[in-house]
Amino acid sequence: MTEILQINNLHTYFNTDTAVARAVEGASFNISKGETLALVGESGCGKTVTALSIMRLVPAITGEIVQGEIIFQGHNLLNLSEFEMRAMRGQKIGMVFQEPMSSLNPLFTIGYQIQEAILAHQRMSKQQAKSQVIELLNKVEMPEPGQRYSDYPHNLSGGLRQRAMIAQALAAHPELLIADEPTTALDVTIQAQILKLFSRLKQTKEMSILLITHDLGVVAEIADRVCIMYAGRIVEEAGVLPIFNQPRHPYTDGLLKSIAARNYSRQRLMVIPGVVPEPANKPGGCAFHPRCRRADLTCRREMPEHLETESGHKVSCWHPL
Amino acid sequence: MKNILVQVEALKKYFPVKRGLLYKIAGWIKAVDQVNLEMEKGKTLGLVGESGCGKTTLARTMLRLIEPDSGEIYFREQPITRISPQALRNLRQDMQIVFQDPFNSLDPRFTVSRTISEGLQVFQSLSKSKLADQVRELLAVVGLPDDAINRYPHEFSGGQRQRIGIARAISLKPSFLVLDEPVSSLDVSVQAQIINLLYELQERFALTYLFITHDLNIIRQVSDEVAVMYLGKIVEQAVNADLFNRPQHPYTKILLEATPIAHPKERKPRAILKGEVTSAMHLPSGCRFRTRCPSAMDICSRQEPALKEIAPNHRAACHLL
Repeated sequence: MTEILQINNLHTYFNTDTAVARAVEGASFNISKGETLALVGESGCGKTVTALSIMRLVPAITGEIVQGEIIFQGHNLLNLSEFEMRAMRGQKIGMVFQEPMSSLNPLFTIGYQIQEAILAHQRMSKQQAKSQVIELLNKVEMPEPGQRYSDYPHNLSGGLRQRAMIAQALAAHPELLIADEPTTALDVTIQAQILKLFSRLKQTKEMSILLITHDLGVVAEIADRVCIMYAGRIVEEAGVLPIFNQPRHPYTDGLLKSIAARNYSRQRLMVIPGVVPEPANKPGGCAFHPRCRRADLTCRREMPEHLETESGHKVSCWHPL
Repeated sequence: MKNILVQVEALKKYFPVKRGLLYKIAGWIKAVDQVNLEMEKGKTLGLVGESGCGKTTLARTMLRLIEPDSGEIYFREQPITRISPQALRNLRQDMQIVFQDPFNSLDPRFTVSRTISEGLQVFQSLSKSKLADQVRELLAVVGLPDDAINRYPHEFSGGQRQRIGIARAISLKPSFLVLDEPVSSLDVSVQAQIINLLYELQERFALTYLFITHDLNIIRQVSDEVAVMYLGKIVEQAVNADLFNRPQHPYTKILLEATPIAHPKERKPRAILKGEVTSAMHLPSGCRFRTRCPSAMDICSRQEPALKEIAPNHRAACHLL
């Protein structure tokens, strides 16, 4: 398969008053054409910063991509001028943000905001743009698209706003769609609708999806391949079945166990002790060692390499399962 | 014979919706509509439903944090709907609540010690050193370090803050605890830690829990009995295994169907609920669920189904049954 996106040794840091927060610290992964890759991790592990780095939307005041390559269709995005990057955003790479409530502009109609995304990249009349918008709203299964066109975001429920966001991201037919926690704020029945929409987009289009989530249930539903992220690095990478069947990293194993036990009522859960470290204050060696049952002296001192244990399955651990 | 701690009879709470210049009442939101519930001592009742279905209003009305419009609440078989303010104040020691958002439910200007000891200071006249001892003991019970005592909420992670909220709630040794989405805002690995803590506390202090959440996986794990709520009504109630293995109400079935799967090998095409939760202000005639129900019949628009016993300890409100 051809790779549409390659991320090599990405480092994105933020300067705070007192320290440097190394939010992403040496993340590497690839996405193939037509593939849905899930980037999974707990809050503060660097998932969203990775997405913002790909879009080159890391806030310039405090943040900086210090090192690494982001190669999209053969071009390193980090070498593009801001003008060239603009042509990428939306047209080549679309993004759905986490909060459908706050990512749409409350002062403009849904139709206007989607139309804006179309007109930024293509020359056409307003009338043509409008019919394209309605077509897009149809595609994301928005009820009564003609009427919704002139609605404002506050007229729509959370689920419908998320559909509008997805329509906006799809407006210029991007080849890569980045979806940052697209269903986190939604009720389960609405989440199921949106996930179904994503699987349909997967089937009908030759589009790659980078799905960022903390929810392993969502991963089980639609991912082809999974990258588990911890403290700014990819600690395990494999196809979705091997990840669930045979996790190799103790962190992945712990995450799966803390949800798997939910099938049985009232049993004590397997727990990963402690919490995710702060990006400005990460432990040395393997960042997971303070929470790991298998940790020894090597883990405390040296960072493990990201090695392929079997075809397509990579893990960063001195003592994989 | 069941040992009932809390019982609710025909409880009703409507909120007026006011509109326009003169602030006229334009309609009513039927947040809690004729709800009957029984809670067995030392057990956990899981209350599940989508956002806006009235879960939180029901719980707060049971604690009389919100005044009911009609109906009766019994606590230890005593009616508490019309007791004197003084008696209610004393009763507060026995019924407490843990809130959803550990970031907004703790006063940022209070030290941990002051947050936890506020209730003790109100109800028990203790010397300073005795009070400090009690706070330390509570910290130990919820698994926080001793030196947390003089620190402020912002110094803690989400999971630790939730532990502070739990310590505050159990400080007066209540017998009834409302847990309003206590783990929804936490990371998966931390959720497991808090759930385990709640199990421990329940065993240790014989607590009765009303566990509110929208997450069926969590409900399945923590509850002895489960009540499913839709637009102000309980639509189905049963012991855990019955509800999850033999759901009867179409809404419960759809909720279960919509819950993300635990393993990618369970992927399958599913029946997905169309539409959104109906506005609580404009309820349809007859059964509230009929506009989204796949098996709605003629009678559903004419008559509201009553919650009736369909099997031992299994109640549902549907004309099909």
